[in-house]
Amino acid sequence: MKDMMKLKTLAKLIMVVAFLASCKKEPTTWDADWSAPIAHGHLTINDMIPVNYLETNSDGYLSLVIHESIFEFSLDTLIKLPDTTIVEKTAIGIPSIEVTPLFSLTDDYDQGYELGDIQLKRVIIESGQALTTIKSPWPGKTKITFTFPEVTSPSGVFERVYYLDAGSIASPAMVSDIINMAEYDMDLRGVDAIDYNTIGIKVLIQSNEATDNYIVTNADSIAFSFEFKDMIPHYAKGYFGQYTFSDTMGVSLAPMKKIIGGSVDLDSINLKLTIKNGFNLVAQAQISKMTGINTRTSNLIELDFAEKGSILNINPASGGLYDYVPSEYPLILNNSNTNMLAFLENLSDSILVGYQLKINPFGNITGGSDEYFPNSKMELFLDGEFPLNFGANDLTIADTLDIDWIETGSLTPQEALVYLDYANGFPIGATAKFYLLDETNTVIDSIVGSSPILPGNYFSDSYVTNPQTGAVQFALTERHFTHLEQTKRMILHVSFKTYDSDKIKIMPETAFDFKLRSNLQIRISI
Amino acid sequence: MKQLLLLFCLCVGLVGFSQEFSPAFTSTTSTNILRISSFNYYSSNRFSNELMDKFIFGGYIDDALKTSTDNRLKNFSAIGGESEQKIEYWNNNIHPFRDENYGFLFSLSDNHFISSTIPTDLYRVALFGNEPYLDKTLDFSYTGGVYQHYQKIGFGVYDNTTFSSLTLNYVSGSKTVEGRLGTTSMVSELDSVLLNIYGGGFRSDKFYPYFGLQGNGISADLSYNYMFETKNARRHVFNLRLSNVGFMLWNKNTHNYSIDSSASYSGFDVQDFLNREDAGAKTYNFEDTLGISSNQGSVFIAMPIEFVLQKLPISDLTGFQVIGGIKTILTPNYFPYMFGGVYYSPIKNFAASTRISYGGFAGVRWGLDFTYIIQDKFNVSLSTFDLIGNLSSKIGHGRSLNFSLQFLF
Repeated sequence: MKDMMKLKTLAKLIMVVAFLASCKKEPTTWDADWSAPIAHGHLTINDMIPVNYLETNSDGYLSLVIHESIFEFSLDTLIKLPDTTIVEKTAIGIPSIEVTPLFSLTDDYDQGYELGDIQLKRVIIESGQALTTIKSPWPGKTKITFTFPEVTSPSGVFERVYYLDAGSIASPAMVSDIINMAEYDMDLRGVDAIDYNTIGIKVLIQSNEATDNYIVTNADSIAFSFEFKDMIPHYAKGYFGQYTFSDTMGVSLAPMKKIIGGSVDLDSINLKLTIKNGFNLVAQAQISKMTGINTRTSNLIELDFAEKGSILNINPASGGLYDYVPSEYPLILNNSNTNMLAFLENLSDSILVGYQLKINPFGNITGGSDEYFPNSKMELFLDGEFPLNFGANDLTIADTLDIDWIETGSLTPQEALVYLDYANGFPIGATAKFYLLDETNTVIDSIVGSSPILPGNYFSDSYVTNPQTGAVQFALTERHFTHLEQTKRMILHVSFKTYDSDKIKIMPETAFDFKLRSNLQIRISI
Repeated sequence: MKQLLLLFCLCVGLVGFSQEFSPAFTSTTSTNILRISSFNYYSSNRFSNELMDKFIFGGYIDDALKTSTDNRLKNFSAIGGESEQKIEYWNNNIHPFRDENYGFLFSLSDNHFISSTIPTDLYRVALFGNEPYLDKTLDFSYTGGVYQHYQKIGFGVYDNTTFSSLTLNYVSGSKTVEGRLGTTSMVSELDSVLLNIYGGGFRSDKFYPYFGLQGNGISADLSYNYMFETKNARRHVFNLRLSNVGFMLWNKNTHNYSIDSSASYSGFDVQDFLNREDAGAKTYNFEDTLGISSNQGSVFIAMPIEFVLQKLPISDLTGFQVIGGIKTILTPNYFPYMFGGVYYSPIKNFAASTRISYGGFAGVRWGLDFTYIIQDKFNVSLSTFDLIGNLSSKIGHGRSLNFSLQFLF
């Protein structure tokens, strides 16, 4: 009995010990200090602005250049080839006739193409289809040949031959076909070459019987239709009509809305606004309004230049189908003939542009010789040079970033010191602040650097900047990490200040070298 | 916890008996013997229970504990352990060779084996981070670790006079992971981390369920008892044991890894991401940076062979007997284990022994075992190889608990 008692006691003890050993009540945790590089870089101005937008100007420093189309419209605005269907019926002109194997009947038509005010004489098709349907009640086999004599392609005149079985009025024989119209050159002057928007068609009807004859009456009409679909021209010639486009449109400059404070002091601007006409037609343009609006300061400023409000006659493009050259009407705008500097220093975040464009303002004065060339368009093209010679005084930019907190798993950051070691060759200093926002967009915390990034030492006589070295420390506490877990958005405020708040010039070789590293205390849990 | 362990050790002293590792030799005329045994220990030569308890039971490892452990470390530290739950059945009515001198033996066991070598620098960087060791070369060379979980089903024969036996086992592999580093070092500087690394390893595809069936193997276990009498007619038994002589083939889903690279990390270069159309697709892949190559395929390994030579006590003798022996496991992290002690049986129904040991995964340890015997019917034993480890988390470096029940009928 005593032995049994001892065994029971022993068994219980073993169970308790085994349970304790197998049951981990809490995770194993410890803190470790890790020093890790995060990022590094040698940033030149080319890394911040695409190289296509930068040039070294004649004074040896950098200019921001722009060569971009800022407004354009193309053929869709002027010419549209709507889907259209040609439906015709062919019948003999006598009560009845015996159709022998040698029988033939010809007919021709001029079919109109409804295009409104547009009077096209010639179109080369880029893409499109013709859907053909023929129905024949003739009681014998029939051969029908359609010829569009003025519609040609590199392989010749447009012609299709169809063979139909015997049919009846109640149950006509039928064939259908889909024709790819790409590359077809369509003369729309009709069979006699004097009309416009007209397609000439010739029809040849023959018996397809080898030996048999059959009787056709004047009630046995052969019906055919051509449905032109999705026709897009490659080239068009004719009279494109008279149009006037006018509007006052607001152009939002979204990046400028990120500026929330400060000012800039610019030196000079050279702009060339060119109105380019890629159509062989006469046009007139008028720029009636160009107002810059800074919604932050409620300042409005009107850009004034000599041609503003004047009617500008835009010449037709020159050359032909394969060698056309758009006409150009340049407007030269700079700080001597406009108030461009003040306009730009307003830091407008939207611009109101009032304009009017007249196509064929004098009507069809070319006898229907307007031409659309492949890819030709009417556009407003900007060539601009903004010398990087400016001053910035606490120019502050705010940007909002969406944040997704990454689950760190078994690693929990406790504290961190993030160091930015830099050598700033730009004569511009900066201060950065990060604001953390929760899901209700309430600021719950902020991260501020220990000091600003100092500008390089700038020498205004030589434009040379000696790099300034320094370090900025961002201290993140446990509180920051707790808030970062709740953060849904982050607002970054960066304030820029040029050397001595004066105007500076940026040289091509200017660079910002930095190393970003961290000392991170993490709690490891396993 | 401490109180429970103390209670347990006191109970061992009152109720316990011999170590499973060196069971007392029992002469018996019984036809059947059924033994259920449990052999468990983990130990370390450098890491105290105070630290290991944090990993086993959880808790916060503070700077004082990290530092006190660090002060004890030498170049390499080892942690290892074994756990074997085993059922053995001897039958003297079944004669495999039609020779009545030999009986039939069946055994079934579940085994866990873990062994690791941890260089001091690896401990330091894992527990303290790299910040305290900037500009220093941290040497991780010869870091290694292996974990195996397998089951053995064995059939064998034994000599019913000496109880020498030979068992052939089918081994079913449940799960494994193994990795070793060659010459490997890391240098951290303020703006870069340089890692020279060479090594390899493998792991089973899954770590579940408990019986994973992810490997197959065979092994042989040999136990040979040499019995002799001295001039004073005192009997002695020496036991030579060779276990796990065999191999394991982990299946084709096993993941194999190798690495041989010199990688430097200095953070990402922002120029790789600025004004580049492919910037969005760029990701920093540490696996590629480190040059880790991996594939899946079968892995053929030798089982961890275990060699034991020991002098066994004889259970039917009363008085003092000397015990001692040596054991080694052919794995890089296991230092030969040596032990010596005395076995004392004041009466026929009770015996106790004590041993001092050194080696294995640990340093010096003190063991106790106690056995309660009903001759030719039943015995039960409870023992520990590491009494201090069981009692003290401050100075203990592991724990050990063995238990066996033996029925003779």
